[in-house]
Amino acid sequence: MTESEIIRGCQRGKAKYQKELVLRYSPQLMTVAGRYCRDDHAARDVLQEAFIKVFRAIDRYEPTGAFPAWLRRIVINAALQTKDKASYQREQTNLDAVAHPLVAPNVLSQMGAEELIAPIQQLPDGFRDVFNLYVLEGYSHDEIADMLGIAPGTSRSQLVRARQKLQAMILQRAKECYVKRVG
Amino acid sequence: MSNELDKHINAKLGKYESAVDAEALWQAVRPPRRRRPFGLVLLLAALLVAGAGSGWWLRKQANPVSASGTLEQAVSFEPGTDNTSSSATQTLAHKTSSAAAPNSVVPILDVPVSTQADKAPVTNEDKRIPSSFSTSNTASANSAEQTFPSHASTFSKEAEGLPTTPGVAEAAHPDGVVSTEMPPVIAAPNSKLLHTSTVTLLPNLEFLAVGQGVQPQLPNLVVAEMPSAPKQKMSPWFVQADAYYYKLSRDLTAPNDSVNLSRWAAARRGTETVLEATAAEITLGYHHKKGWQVRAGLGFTQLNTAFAYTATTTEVDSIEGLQMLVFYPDNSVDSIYGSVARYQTTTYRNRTYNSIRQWELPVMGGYRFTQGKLNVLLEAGIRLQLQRKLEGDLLTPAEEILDWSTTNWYRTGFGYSLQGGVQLGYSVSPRVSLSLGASVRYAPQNYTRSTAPFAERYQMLGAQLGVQYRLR
Repeated sequence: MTESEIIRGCQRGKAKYQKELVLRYSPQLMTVAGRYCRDDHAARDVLQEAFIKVFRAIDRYEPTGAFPAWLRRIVINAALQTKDKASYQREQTNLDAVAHPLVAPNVLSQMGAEELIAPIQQLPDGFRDVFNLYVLEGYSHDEIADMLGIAPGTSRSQLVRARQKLQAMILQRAKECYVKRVG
Repeated sequence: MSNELDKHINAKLGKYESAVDAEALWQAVRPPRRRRPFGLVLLLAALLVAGAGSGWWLRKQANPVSASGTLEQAVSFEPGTDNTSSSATQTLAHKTSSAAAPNSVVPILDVPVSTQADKAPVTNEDKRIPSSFSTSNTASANSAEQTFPSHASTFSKEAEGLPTTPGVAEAAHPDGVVSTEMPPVIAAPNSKLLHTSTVTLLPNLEFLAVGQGVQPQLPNLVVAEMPSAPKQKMSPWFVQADAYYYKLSRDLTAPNDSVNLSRWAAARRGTETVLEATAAEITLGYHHKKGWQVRAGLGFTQLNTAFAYTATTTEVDSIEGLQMLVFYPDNSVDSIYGSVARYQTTTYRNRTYNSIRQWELPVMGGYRFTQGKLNVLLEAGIRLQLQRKLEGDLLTPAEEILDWSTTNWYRTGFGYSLQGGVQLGYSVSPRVSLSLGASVRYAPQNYTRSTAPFAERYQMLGAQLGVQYRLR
C-alpha cells in the first residue's frame, strides 16, 4: 500500500487505510511526541490526540510537501497545545546558573536513541521545546518565537541553556554508568 | 561542542522509531464507523417507487381517452391550423328522416366532409359543410375506433387514420335516405378537431358547439351519454417492489457445559445491541384470476447491531526511582534508589455498527382476496440465501476485539429462511396497486456454522411497503 493510496483511502474515510496509517507512522511519530513530553504516557496521549486530528484534517491535506512532515507538524502542534504558554516565560525567569560541562564525543556515540530521549524529556518544558524545534525540526528562532509566544531572544537563550543542561545530564549519566561498570 | 551535540542528537533521533503498541493506538483513535442509513435509503426508494406509480396514474387520469360527454367537451377548435387539409373524416349518421330542424348547422370542423346522399362539395375557401347525411354506427376517437349501439342517430367521426377524400363527405346508411336539410357548417379558419364523440341527434336537431372560431348560429346538438369503454385485458403477470423494516430478535447461546463460553456469550450480549433489519426486493409474479399468485425475484437484507466496548489495559515497566527511605535515630534520612515498577493504565472505548448483509432469492406464494379497489393478500414462502457478508467487531473469549469478517464462525454461503405475511393493497389504477402489510421471517438455521463455539440466530417481525405493476 503506497503513501498516496493511504492518503486517498483516509480521505474517503476507509478504516482499512486509516489503520494502515496508524501502524506505519506511529513509531516514527512516537519518537517525535516523546521528545516533547515528560514521559511516554504523556507522549502516547499526545500521539492519540494527533491521530484524531489527522483523521479530521486529512481531507484538507494537499500533497505539496512530504506527508510525514505534515504528520510530524500535527504531532508537534498537539504536544505544544498541551502546555501552558506562560510556562515558557516562567522558566526563562527562573533560570539558575548552569554549569557548562563538555561532553566528550565518545560518550555521545556510546549512547542509544532511548538514552538520549530520556534526558531530553527531563528538560524543563520551555528548554525542551525550543531545543526540539531548533535542533531536530530545523525551525528558526523567529518561527519558534511565533509558535511558543515568546521573544526570539528568549528562544535563543533557552536553546543555550537547554544545551548546557542536556550536556550536564548526559555527563552525569555517563558518570553513573562508569561507576556501575567500575564497581 | 554544541554543534556536535546537535548533530549527534539529530542523527540519532531524526529517523528513530520508538516502540509503540500501534494496534492499541489504532483502537483508541479509530473514528466511529459511519452507519450506513440503509433503512432510510430503502424507505426513500419505496416512497420514490410509490410516488412514481401515483404520478404515472395521475398523469394517465389527466389525459383520458373518454368516449362520453357532450359535444362541448368533444369538439374544440384551435385557430391557426388548416382545417381543410386534415385527413380526418366525419360521418354524421342518423336515422331521423324528417325531424331534423331545417337550417341547422352541423359543427363539423377540421374535416373534409361530404355526404353520399347529395354529394355536396366542400371548398377550402368557405369551409362550409352541407348537413345532409346519413348514419353509421361507428365513432373513432384519437384513432381508437369504438363501436357503440345507437338508439336514434349516431354521429361518427374518425379523427386521423382513415384515408378519405378531402372535401367530400360520405354518408352511409342502411336506409339510404337522409331528408334533413341543414345549412352548411361555418367553420372558423384554422379550426381543429381535437376530440370526437358519438352523439345522438334528437328529432329536433339542435346543435350546440362551443369552441374558438365557431359561429354562434350553430344549432344545438344534444349529446347522449356514451357507454363506458370496454375494460382492457390485464396480463396475469406483474412486477412487485417491496421494502421491509423489521424488528430484530437474536438468540445467542453457548454450550451449557462450558462456563467460559457461556460467560463469553453473556459478555457478547452485554456488548452488542440488536438494532433493526431492513430489506428490499423486486419480484416477478403470476396472478391467477381465481386469486392465487406466485412470485419470485431478488432480495437484499441487512441486519444491524451495535458493538460497544470499553477496555482498560495496564502496562508495567520499571524505571529508576526512589525505592526506600531509611530514617535513623539521629533524624538523618537515607534515600535508596533503584528500579521501581511503574503502572500505566489506558482506557479506550470502541463503538462499531455491525451489519450482516445477505442477498436472497425469495419465492412466495399466496392468495389474494379482492373487493373493489382493495385487496388482501395472504402470502408465505421461502427465501433462499445466496450470499452473506459480515462487517464489524465482536468480543473474543479472551475479551479482545475481533473483526467480524475475519472469523469463520458464520455461514456465508447458501441457506434459507421462511417468510409469511399479510398485505393490504389498494389499486390506484388498473395496473398499479400499492400495498402495506406485516411480515415475519423465521430462520430455522443458525447463522453460525456447527463448528462455531456458539449458536446465533435472528428472527424478524416488521412492516412492508410495496408497489405492484401489472404487465401489459
